[in-house]
Amino acid sequence: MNETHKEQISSLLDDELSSIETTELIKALENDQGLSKQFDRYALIRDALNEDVVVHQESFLKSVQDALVLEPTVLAPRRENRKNNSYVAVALAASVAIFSVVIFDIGSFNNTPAPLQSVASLEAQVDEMLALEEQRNEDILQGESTSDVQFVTFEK
Amino acid sequence: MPDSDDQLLVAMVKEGNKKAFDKLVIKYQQRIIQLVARYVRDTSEAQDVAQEAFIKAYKALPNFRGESAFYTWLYRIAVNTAKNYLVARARRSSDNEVDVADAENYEGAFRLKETDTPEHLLLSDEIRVTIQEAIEALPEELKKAIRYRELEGMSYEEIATEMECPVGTVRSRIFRAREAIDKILEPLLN
Repeated sequence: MNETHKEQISSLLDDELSSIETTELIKALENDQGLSKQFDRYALIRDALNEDVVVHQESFLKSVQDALVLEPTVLAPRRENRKNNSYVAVALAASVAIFSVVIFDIGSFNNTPAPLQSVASLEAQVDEMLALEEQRNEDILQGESTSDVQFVTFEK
Repeated sequence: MPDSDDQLLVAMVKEGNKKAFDKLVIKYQQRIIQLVARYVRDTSEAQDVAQEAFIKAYKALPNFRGESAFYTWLYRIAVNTAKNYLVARARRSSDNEVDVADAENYEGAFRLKETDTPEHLLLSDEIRVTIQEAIEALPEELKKAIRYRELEGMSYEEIATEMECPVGTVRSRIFRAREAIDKILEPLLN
C-alpha cells in the first residue's frame, strides 16, 4: 500500500480521479486488502461529516418494486432445477442421437447432399420435445404446492 | 425485527413471495442508503445505487446460504455496488477515451470478503466524536479543504479558486486531512 494509491482512493471518492488512474487503482485494490479497508475508512469519515441522508421511504420501495418487475428474477428450488435439467438432458440426448443417425446415414451410406427437409424436421422434433417438457413442468407446477416452487424457465 | 425474522422473510422470498422482499427493503433501506452515501455523496445517486444493491441482492438470494446474517450479506453487496459505481463513474466522466467494453469491466473489481462486516465499520457515537475531534485538530488549510469538499460539496477546481492554490494542492490537502483522521480512526476499528 503506497501513498499514491491512498491519494487516488481519496480522489476517487470525490469523483476527481482520471480514467488512467482509476484503472491503476483498481488493479492495486484487487491485490491489496488493506487498501480496500482504507477505502472504507475514508468513506466512514465522510459519513461522520455529513448529516443523515433523508430518504423518501415509500418512493424508494416503489422504485425497487418497479425495477424488479422490469427485471424478473428466476428463483427455483434446486430440487426442481435438477428435475427440469434432467428432462432437458433427456431431450438433448435424444436430439443428438437422432442427429447422429442422420449424419451417419448421410456420410456412410449415401453420397447425396443432406435434404433440407430432414434438418427442418429435426428442428421441429427438438421443438416438439422441448414443448413437451414445458408442458410436463407446467403439470408439475400445478400439481405441487406453491410453497415449493416459484418460477421455472426454459431456454431453447 | 430480529435476525430470525429475516431468515423467515428470506425463505419466503425464495419461495416466490415478493412481498416478503418488500419488507426487507423497508427494514433496511435507510441503513443501506446511508451506507452507500458514504461512497456516493449525491443523495439521489446514492438512492439509485442502493436500489441497484437491493436488486442484486434479490437476484442473488437463491445463492444466499444463510451462513451470515442477511444484513451482513446485504451490507457487503451494497458496499461493493457503491465502490463499483465510483469506478464506473470515474471512467465515464474522464476526458480520456475509454473503450465502452472496458468501462463495463468494472464489475467484480471488488470482491466480497468475509471480513467486510457492518460491525467493522459501524459509525458509533464514539467513532463520530473521534472523527470530529480529529478534524478540529487538523492544520487550518487541511481543515478548510476537507470542509469545502464534504460540507459545501465543492469540486477540487472550485476549492482551488477559493483557496488560491493549484488543483493538485487541493487534492493533496484533502488526502492529507483524511489520512490524518484515519491514523486516529484505524486503532478504534481494530
